[in-house]
Amino acid sequence: MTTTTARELAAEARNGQVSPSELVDQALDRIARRDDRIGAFLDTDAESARARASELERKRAAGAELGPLFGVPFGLKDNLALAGRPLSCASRILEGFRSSYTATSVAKLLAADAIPIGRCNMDEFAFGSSTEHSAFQVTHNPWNPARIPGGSSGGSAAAVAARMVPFALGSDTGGSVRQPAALCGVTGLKPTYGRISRYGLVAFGSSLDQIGPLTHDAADAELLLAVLAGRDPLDATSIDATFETGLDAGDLNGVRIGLPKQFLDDRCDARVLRAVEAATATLTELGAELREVDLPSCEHAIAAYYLIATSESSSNLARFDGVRYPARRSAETLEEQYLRTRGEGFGDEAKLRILLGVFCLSAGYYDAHYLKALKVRTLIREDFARAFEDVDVIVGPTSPIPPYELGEKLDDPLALYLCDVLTVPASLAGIPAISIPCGFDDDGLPVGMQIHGPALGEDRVFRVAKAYQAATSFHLACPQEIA
Amino acid sequence: MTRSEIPAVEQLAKLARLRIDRAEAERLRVRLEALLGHFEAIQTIDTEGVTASPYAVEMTAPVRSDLEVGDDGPDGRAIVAALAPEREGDEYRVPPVL
Repeated sequence: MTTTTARELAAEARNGQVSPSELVDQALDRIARRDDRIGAFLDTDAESARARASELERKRAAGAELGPLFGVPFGLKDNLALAGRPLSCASRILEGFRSSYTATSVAKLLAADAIPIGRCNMDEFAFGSSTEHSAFQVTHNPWNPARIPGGSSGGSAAAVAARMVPFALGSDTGGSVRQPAALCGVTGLKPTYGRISRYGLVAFGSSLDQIGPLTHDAADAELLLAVLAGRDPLDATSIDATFETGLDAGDLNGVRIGLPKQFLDDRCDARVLRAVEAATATLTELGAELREVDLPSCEHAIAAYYLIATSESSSNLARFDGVRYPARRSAETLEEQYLRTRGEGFGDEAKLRILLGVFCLSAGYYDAHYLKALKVRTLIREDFARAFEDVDVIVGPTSPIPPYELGEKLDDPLALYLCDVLTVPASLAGIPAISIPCGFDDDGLPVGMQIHGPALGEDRVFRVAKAYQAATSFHLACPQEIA
Repeated sequence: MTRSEIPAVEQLAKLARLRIDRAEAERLRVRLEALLGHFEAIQTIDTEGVTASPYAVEMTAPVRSDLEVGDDGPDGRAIVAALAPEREGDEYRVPPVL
């Protein structure tokens, strides 16, 4: 099976080589045939997708200007609002909830003539990096269904990897787009904090959350960023900076690439290191110059990230109390209702993170934990700022290990959290980073390479990613059962 | 952190408005201790004189006029009320607090 990108499909649909209805039917057919083994989608909305496809066909027949994603079906992580559709964050506590409005990012995709086709599975409230913490189903890695797809946007990544949809939206708080992209062999972008409006994204860690696309290649991610970026009056943290797609893939002459020793040490599996070393050799063949950079404070990134993220999430999740959202466990008193609704509505991992956050924000513990972590975040930001004085981009692995067996780390949260060691630094620093496929381990499982840029430096990231993908074919590889 | 330095899980759960049973409390206690024990290394970093970064990028709290924004249209109230766990007309019904 060939890999067809979103921009190619849109061009074909605009030219009349294929209709939006045919694209929708193809996607629904692939989901019907493949998703019982993968579990990427929580649901699909065939009726709405077909109605929208017909609407787009009328638009084309009327001679109207057609959007850059004309007729392209996409998956939506289940923490992004689409008016009238269910939204659960893969949690029992949001069962029965339907969005009353549409997220700005989703509205922009609709304005670009894309077609939402279904909700993708995720770890509950994005708490996890394996998509095993969904209250509803486990998602399997399309390359080996006994392995995790990564997370928390594991449903979105698996849907793209299994060629059910050409792209999907995810959200990335500490690596939740990049890590599943790496483990599923697709491309995943976390933009600069504030690049894409968070309005309509259910908040996890408000100072860290970013929406990002999962795609077949970097050029599609670039196109999607151009569609999604920009200031939104409904999100006070959004940045007034649009983004335009850049030049075609070229060489890397004059590009200085930083290799942080902290990202390439013995915490990484040897199989991952081998693939990334081969990838950096390819980058030098394309003309780039490699330089070692030092990011010493990143040694403490996991602690800083989890202390900050859980503090923010414990506050953000306080709203789910059985009063404002449909799921309610009735009780005689309001206090009892809170306790029952939240106790029965949240899963194990969500409870653990809420308790950790409550602890960090408690009187007597705040200064030594939350405030300390915010100061370490400053040091990490300064590390990156210093490094970017000498290099244009920073490269390393995305995940320290290849996809592991389902269930392997379920009882060991610390082991699970340590898998984020290479993705949380960019989250804490608010800088853009992309994960692109860069090889396979001995078992044929994908390995991802992460390319970081300075704040608002997505153009540099895309230059390197596109040049690499023009010179290699890892991003075109398909899981065996799909091929 | 050691067990004696962490508040009882039951106390944290009370603050978080979470009902947990005894078995859950024990499981969560073990996990919290492991995590906080690992995170304790952050205390060794010298942050004297370092400014905290509440956000990853420099930003100040935006200020805007106190004006109504958005328009849910004539059905807005009904749309929101439809999400209520229990309702009376277009109003949310909640348990008595007094």
